[in-house]
Amino acid sequence: MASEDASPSLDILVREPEGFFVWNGPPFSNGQPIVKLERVPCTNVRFSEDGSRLMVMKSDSVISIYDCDNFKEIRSFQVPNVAAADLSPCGTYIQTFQKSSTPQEKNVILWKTETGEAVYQLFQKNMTKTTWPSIRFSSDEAVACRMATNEIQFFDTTDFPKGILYRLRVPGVAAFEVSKAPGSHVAVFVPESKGSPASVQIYACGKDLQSQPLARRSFFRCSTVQLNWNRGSTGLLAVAQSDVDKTNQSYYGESKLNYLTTDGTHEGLVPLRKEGPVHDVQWSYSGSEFAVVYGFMPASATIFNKKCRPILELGSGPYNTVRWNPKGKFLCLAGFGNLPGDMAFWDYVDGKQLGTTRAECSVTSEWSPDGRYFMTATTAPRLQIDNGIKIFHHNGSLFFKKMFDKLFQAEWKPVSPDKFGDISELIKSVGSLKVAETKSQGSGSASRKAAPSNPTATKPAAYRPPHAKQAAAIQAELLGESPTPEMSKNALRNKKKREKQKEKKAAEAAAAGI
Amino acid sequence: MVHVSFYRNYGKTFKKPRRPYEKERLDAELRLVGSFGLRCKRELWRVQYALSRIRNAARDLLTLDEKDPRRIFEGQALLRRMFRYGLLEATQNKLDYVLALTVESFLERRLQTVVFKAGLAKSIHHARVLIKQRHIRVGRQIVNIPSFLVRVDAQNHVGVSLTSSLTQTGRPGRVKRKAQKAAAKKSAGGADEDDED
Repeated sequence: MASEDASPSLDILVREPEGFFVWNGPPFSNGQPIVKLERVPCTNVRFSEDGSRLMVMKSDSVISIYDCDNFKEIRSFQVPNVAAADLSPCGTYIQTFQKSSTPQEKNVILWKTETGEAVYQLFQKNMTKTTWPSIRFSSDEAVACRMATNEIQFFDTTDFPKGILYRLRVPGVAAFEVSKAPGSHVAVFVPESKGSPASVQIYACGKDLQSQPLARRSFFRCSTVQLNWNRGSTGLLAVAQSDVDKTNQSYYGESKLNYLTTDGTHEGLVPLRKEGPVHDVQWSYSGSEFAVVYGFMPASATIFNKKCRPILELGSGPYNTVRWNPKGKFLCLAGFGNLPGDMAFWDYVDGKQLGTTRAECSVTSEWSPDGRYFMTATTAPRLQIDNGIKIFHHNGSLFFKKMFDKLFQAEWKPVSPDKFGDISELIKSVGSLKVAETKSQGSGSASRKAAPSNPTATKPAAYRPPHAKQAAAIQAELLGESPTPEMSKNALRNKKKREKQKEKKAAEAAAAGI
Repeated sequence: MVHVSFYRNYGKTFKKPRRPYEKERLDAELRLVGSFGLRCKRELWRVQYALSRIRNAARDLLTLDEKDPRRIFEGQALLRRMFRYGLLEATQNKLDYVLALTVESFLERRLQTVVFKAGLAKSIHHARVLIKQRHIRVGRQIVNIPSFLVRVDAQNHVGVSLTSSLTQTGRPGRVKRKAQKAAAKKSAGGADEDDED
């Protein structure tokens, strides 16, 4: 508990049509958040990955960089006709993309945020999801690389004007992903061509580049791949999706989950028990286990360890997302998007479900960096009504709710989870619950009741047509429940008759016995 | 068939159906052959024969007493084989489940269907071609047989073989080598060289 004093504060960034403002994070003093930064008009806002810098696109041509500790503007860039901009993970560089027609005009510019000067420029014809950001950094900014046709180019992050340090030649590369922490490997995806299958390969980032991949996995029937590195850069999860399902089971195509390790111990499919698409797969924050939500609805969820063995089955239900808690041992299974929004909070170390709740129509969901709160937000332009923010405790009880007229973006300021202490009070309370159970049942159940269990969404009562009173009684009988007291008059009369006959028979038998 | 006087150990592996022209049976068999990419009806009858032998064994064991040592021993062995080949789940650990097995459950475990389901082939027929042309390995061993029954622990180790021409590491195939040679010759020899046959 004492470590809380030294931990950094949580901030929430909220963006509305008029601009964005920043709140002080929970715990809220009188039920309302304190505004840390007043409204600033903008078109788009993004934090850097480590949360130290904030990039604000003020209008079509002005980009400002704010320092996140005191929310003061430290630099402003004038970039005419900017189409996209991105911050590097530590906030040292910002790259911007402008529309350009001639190859002479270098339209991707890399700026240094402290000095404001452009350190590198290059030409890129168009911007797609796989090709933006052009220059990708690892989380500590030790490695920066860019994909060009048939090769990956590496740069020196301290000295960009030097140019390309070395190249890694991969014929036909279509997508790549640098491992985040540390940036020691790069994964590339080469799509299918003529006879040869599509493949995902892992290379090491090093000056002494070997052209042999450390690990590779080939497969047919895939058009796009989502690559997912873990913290520690030991394992890569690749979700291979195809638009057409050749097994004819789904209109939406199929997806398969592959797992590759950098030391080559495992390269193969992840054994999933249920058929159907892979809805979501996330590494835990420690990087040693991952959770997969898969299968046709109701989907199953399983946690695997890094040897690809299942360690916990989380049952099945209407879920399609999974969110790990950055601290501690909780995770949240949720069904957003086209599902009604059921959320289940689990303690995966003990394998217990902490609580379930519902957050209808949520678009985004995120744990707080200290792991105590879970915020879901309903945002435009995906949903134009019911915009708002809901914050839950780690076990599912609602903590705070605020509706907006129109909300574009709501997120926590990213902070490294190591800066926060463990959720010690929770571990203590769970421990006390266990001790209470062994000691005396009464006190244990009382404390369990005190622990907030959110009222689950009440199931609407089944509609029974007017003639169905008998039907209800018949159904109850069929299902083995005791018959309801409201029986029809005839039924009551027959029942009485039968009981009287039984009594008469019993009396006769007793008389005969004697 | 094999000449009897030289060979002693052989047995039939399939049984022809009793009625040759039964419409429902012909339709059902053709559907299975098509969806699993089998070569002929005999491949299907082979699986049916294997299944019927297993079912007979299970039925015979079920008539024995529950504590009979033979029933326990052979029953466990049979169930272990079923689990090992992925025909039964680990939860279905009674002999009665063996009687509920179907032909489809065996056909699903063939290497041809496993290769297709794992995404290594574009279609079930492509899978058969890849297997026969030695592009598929199970573990470290290249497997050439489409009817190889894949064990459960080997299922995640089905991949493209390392020497296959489909990967970068393997030697390019015959056609590609020929094209490369012709291209090299053309660039070195000049325009008056005839093309190779």
